[in-house]
Amino acid sequence: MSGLVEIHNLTKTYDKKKEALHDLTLTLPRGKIIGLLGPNGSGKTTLIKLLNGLLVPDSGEILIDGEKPGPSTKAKVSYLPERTYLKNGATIRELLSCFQDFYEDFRADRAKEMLAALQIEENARIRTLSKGTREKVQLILVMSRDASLYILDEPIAGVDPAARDYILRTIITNYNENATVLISTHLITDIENILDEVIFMKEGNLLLQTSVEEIREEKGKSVDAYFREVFAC
Amino acid sequence: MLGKLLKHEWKEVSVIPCILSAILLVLSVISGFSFLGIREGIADVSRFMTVMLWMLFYFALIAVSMGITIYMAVHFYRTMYTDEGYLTHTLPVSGRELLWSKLIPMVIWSFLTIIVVFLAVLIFGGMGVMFASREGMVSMAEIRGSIQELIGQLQLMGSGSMTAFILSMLYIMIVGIFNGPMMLAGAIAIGQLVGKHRILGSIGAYFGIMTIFQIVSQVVFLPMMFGFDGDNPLPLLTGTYFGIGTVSLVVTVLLYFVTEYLVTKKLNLE
Repeated sequence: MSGLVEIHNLTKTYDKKKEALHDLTLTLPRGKIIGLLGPNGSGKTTLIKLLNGLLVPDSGEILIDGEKPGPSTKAKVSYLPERTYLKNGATIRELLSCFQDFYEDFRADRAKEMLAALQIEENARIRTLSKGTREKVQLILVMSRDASLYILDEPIAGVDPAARDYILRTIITNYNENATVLISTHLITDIENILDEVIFMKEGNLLLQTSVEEIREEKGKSVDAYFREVFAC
Repeated sequence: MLGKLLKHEWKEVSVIPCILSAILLVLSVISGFSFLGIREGIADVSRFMTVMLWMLFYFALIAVSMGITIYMAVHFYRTMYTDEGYLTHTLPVSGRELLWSKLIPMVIWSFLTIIVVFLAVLIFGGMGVMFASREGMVSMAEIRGSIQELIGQLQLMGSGSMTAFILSMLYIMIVGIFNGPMMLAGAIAIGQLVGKHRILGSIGAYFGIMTIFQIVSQVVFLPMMFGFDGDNPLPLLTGTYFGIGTVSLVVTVLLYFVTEYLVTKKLNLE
């Protein structure tokens, strides 16, 4: 059976000079939580944007469930970018209505439950919320979809440790078990317990794709310790 | 999906233009009442205030129409190419649907702005005429006489050329309703090709398109000058309007295809 995501010979260059991804070939299996790890500038965010159709590749191909990035793959992919994309003037209720209108797999009741658990008012406008609360709202919207692929770019980078726990719990308890979750982060220690697989990237190339179990058993190290060893300066 | 996109876009984009339009209409009524301040025997301060109010109304006309245009351009840029673009471009819709959902409200507001400005001038002028005739500064007979005189002069130019002239004005106005928003959207989309200075690139693209448009319009306009009949300027104006209107139409269509290509095939949200 083919993977959920098939990437073949993908290359992306910025401003005709800086090569962010070089001839990348990769398969993401179904039903796994995968850590996309690498130092700054390794091409993680570029890969994520290409998967979401926010960038156009120079060459190569991406297939998500057999289709190139477009309206039908966007209906299956739930994406949390590393920045806040919520409209400042909108209320949370308006955003719920927007997600409900556009994503058939959006579960408004699940989103409302999570908002209530965090005591976030549906009438609140985004501009009145703190940065951490905005990130939580965005995560709630993203994780309230029954998507086939969740792509989370630095989901815990800008929040306090207590909020990190909440976010990780939200990811684990809300994702569909047949779905794949791709998480890009620098905070490996915080997430390694929930990962099934890891992908190490360096300078736009794939360095390693393996299971977390293999790293622990064969290398006798945690993912974080192994990452530090591989990317030691 | 276009219907859903339009529903959300219209709701989001219309608040500011509605407020600006309401302010202008209220100001036109207030400025209209100021005609009471030019009666005989009224204090100089009151006359001064009246003139100031008229000037304010004049600037408000320009500010509101420019304000709505600038707001539309900023909204297009913000929702397509800044952080908000991450949501816009990950909705399960095609690039073409996205573009239409942005352009249709821009075109509608381009039309509504003309209507609002026209209404404001009509209210202001209408109230002026009403108060002036009530105060005996001008009689209704005089106003009717002036209108009849104007119609008489126009009839002298020939009813055929007059109809063509009115049609050419309508044509250029209708094309302009589409051309304005398309120039803004096109310039912003082209500006995204300029590496790190995308806003500057958009401004540069706008003036670049304008310059090309002016040059082509001049090329169309100049040959018509040779056929100018000194007694009757209407055929020259009619030809010029039809010519420039057609250049605008071609520019609008070309810009649409360029913008659609850039949005669907060259998106680069860095």
